[in-house]
Amino acid sequence: MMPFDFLVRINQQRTTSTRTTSTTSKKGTTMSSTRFSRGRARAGVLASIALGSVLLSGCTAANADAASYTYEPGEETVELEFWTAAVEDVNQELVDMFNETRGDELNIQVTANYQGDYVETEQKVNAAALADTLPNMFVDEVGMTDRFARATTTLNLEPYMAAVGMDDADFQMGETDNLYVDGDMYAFPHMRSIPVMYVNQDMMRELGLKETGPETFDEFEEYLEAAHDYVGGPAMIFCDYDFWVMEALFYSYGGTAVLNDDETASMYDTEGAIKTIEWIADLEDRDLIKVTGAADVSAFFAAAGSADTAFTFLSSGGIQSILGLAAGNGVDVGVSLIPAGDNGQRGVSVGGSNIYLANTGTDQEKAAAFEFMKWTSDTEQAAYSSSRTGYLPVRLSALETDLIKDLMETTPGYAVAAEQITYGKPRPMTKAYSELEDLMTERIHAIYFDDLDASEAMPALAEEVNEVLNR
Amino acid sequence: MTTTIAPPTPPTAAGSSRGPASSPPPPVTPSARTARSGTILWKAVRVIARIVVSLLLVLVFAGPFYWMVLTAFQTASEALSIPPQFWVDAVRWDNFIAAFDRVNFGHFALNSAIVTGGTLLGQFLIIVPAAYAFARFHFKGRDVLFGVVLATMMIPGQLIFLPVFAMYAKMGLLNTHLSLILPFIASGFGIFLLRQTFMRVPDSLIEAARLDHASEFTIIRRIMLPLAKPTIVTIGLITFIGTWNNYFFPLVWTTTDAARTLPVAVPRLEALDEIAPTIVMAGNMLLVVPILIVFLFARRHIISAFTYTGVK
Repeated sequence: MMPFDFLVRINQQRTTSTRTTSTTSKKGTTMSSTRFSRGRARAGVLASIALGSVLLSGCTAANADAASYTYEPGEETVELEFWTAAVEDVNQELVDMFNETRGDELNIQVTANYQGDYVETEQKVNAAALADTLPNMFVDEVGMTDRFARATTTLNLEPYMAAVGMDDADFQMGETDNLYVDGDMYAFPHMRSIPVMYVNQDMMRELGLKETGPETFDEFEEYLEAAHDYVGGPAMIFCDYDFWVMEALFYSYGGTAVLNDDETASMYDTEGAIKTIEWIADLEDRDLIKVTGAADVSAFFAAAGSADTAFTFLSSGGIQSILGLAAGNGVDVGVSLIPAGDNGQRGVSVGGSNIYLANTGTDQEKAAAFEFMKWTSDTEQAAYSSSRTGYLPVRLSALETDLIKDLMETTPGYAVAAEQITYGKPRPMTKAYSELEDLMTERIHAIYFDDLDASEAMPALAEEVNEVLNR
Repeated sequence: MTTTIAPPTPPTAAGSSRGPASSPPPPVTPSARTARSGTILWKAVRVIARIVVSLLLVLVFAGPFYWMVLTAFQTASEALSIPPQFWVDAVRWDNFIAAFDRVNFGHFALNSAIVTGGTLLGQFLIIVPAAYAFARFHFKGRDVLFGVVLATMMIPGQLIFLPVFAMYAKMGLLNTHLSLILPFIASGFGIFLLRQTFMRVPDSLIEAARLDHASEFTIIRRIMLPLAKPTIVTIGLITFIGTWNNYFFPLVWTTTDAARTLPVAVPRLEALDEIAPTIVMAGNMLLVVPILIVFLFARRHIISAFTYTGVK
């Protein structure tokens, strides 16, 4: 049995559900059927509108409207600009491949321009929207879909998908809420990652423990105690500046999210949130882990591949780098799921990037840009991107490609990451979240380093967060 | 008629002229000897304390630089080893080669040179006449205008980047070298510093030149600039370092690589491999080498300028 069979089964279940179309849920495995049937319903509505238009004023206007979402190659080459963030080299390779193949067929040529990290790219996109210099499509962090859509910086993809008969079933890999705004798809997934646990398997074997590491947080503490005795000090560095990992611990250990469902209030005054921070502080007090901040990020990465480190919580996107670093140190490191909390609860925020269609250019350029987005996120390209980066493929069908099957055989950590994403949760999408991440990191950092009482500090932080959210 | 005016000698700091010893030393008594040995001991303590503080300061300032150089020549596992390794087993150029492979350093270095050179040139074309006018002419609104110039130093760049970006977009200047040069050529700090220097030049020199029918341009060229040479070198160096190292504006005002400079290029090495700092440090080395070279050549002038202008 292949290590990713469970995902293929999920895919098959979802494919079946798209055929049955019986659902009332907005999220989860039946969501694709909702959207598929909604797409057909929308097509019906569009057809009715077109028919009415024919009856009332002739066919010209309706044809023009339908055509505006479909790309038809003309004699002149359509030049498009694509802004990228993160994994610049792989994005450039994708663009080169497109220009040489599909782009050449369709008379579309794309130029990729790297803009910086996710936050820098967001700032530049916002500036470009004001100055009317937006690129045709761009890559940015998954949590930015809502703010871009509400600012009308990006376009609804549903009409374009309907025009070419495309549905979103194959994208339903783990949590995908960050692709939608008010139920409509506003982005295609581009790169996907989730926090995973890197385990020093050599140390586990030496200690007579499971080499895949602990499965629950209770076990995790026992393993940390054994590792502490083995190395004579803390055997794990926990870097609290990466708030994305903190979100995973809130979900998995505390059973709570950072914000409530409609993102209007903090959940930091809940028992689960306070319990999570008290637990981390307790592990540090007992010298089982060492908590570091942004200033010690090099020490954190150094420890990740070290013989004296038992566990590291880090992005699945770092699989190739961490395993390579550990191999350089002669350490056998594996990838496992973040442990489960009470009642077996698990949860990790799905990170990575989406590709967005910018609200700029002519109808022909927009349709051409959609062609590029469609091609970039197609099965073969999704598999290629994953194999080149360590990010997960963004299509279920990509898991069935030889490329990904081989990759998962040679690097089983990919299969673990693919399993971990099934416990995916959406990252908050509020536009204040970048600011909140800084605030929350700083305040939680102070709890560890200034020995504050979490039961008092967390509700106080909740009030601060609420002020920002309701500003 | 050609006016020839010899450049005057720069004013010197109040010097102490030491003449020949005119009186014999006083006789040494035992109490004086004790006092002297106490003084010598105190002097020794002060010297040692000064050396210790100096060494600490060197450690604070040179330590990060040494770490950068060291990491640039290490392997990833050496750089991330615990405990840290403070030396290299062998000098390796792999990280530099990798940095060049990943980022087109030649292109970005050329852009940096164009932007830095253009800013320096434009700045002196603007600030020299402006400083001269503020220092030597009495005209209506002079003080208000000078206040406006000084006020420009108080406005954070983050406040203006968006309107300027929109303006550039309308003017078609986005992704051009000019867009990274224009906003920095009217330096309020440069005008202020140069005005202070020009104000120290004795009026008699200017009057003498005018009596010889020297034009204002000639006065600037033949009198003011030679006298202000240390200040000009200082402004030039500060501008050079500031422009060469500028990260924020080249980042936010460019959307393609056409005019992007080295500081924007170096972080791309990190984005390509966030775990190992070795290649990023090699990129940083390439970034700072020109600054070090310029500093080594201009060091004497900088010390002289800061002493002369009294800027601490």
